[in-house]
Amino acid sequence: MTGLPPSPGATPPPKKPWEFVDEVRRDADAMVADAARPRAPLRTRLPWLSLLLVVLVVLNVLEWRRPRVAPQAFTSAEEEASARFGIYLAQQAVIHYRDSAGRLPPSLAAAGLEGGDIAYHAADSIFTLEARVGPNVYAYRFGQDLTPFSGAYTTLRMATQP
Amino acid sequence: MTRRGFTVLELLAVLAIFALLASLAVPRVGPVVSRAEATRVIGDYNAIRHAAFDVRETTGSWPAAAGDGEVPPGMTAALPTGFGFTHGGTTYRWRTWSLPDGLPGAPADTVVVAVEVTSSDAAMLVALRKLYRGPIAFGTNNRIILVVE
Repeated sequence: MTGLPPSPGATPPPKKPWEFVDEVRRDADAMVADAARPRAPLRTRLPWLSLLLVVLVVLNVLEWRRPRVAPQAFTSAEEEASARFGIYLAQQAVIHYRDSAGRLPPSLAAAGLEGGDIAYHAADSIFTLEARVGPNVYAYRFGQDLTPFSGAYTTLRMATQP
Repeated sequence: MTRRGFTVLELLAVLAIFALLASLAVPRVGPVVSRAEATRVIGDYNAIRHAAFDVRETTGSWPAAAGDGEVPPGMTAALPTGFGFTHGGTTYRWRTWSLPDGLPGAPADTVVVAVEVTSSDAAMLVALRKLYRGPIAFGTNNRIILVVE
């Protein structure tokens, strides 16, 4: 032993076992003293607790009742464009069938379009196609200008690749 | 004797705090799950797309259209082993359209091919649409048609 003070950063000497025991005892005593400290009586806490509870219940009710907006893959304008483009594709399938078979297809399934949302009606050489989006109905009658239907492709392309 | 512990009001307050935290956290978990599902669907879409191009390169024509959840004839060999057209709540459908008049800005006699994705998970479809990098996507809010070419 030289009697010099320990250099800064040097490891402090290890504690003796009884020092550990004393430390634990001191901590335990402090916890007991803390637990024994008298709390505010319930009568004092009751108004605050009640108020807190009411506020929390109101917040919960507001949060759970908040209307959740269902996610929509398409805006209503895009849904309309989709319906029009769907009619264009169906019209082309019908024309393709007519060009190869020489008559109109009896159904869209016969023209290779099964399970779509488009209604098809054919009489003689005239046919109509109808797509429904919510309350709106989009219809095409054979001979009608196709531009609003084929043009929907451009709308959809711009929406897909902005 | 002093009785220590929590009053019913204190317990209710803690429960209310937990309920509030849960109601704030739960809606934020859904989109993460949907985005993961959409990423998987885009992976399936790419597998179908590659298989379709393989078929076209081999046979000279696109695979024929098929029904919901059905693997188009001739495409099975080009798809990864065990690949199905139904995956959980998502169904795929291979679609083709012959367009005698073509598309705006494209030549006449064009064939449009697409993968139709049907799912009741609207949030997944929203995420899917954002992830899709093809020519056009169209459809309704429970069915998206992703055009391949």
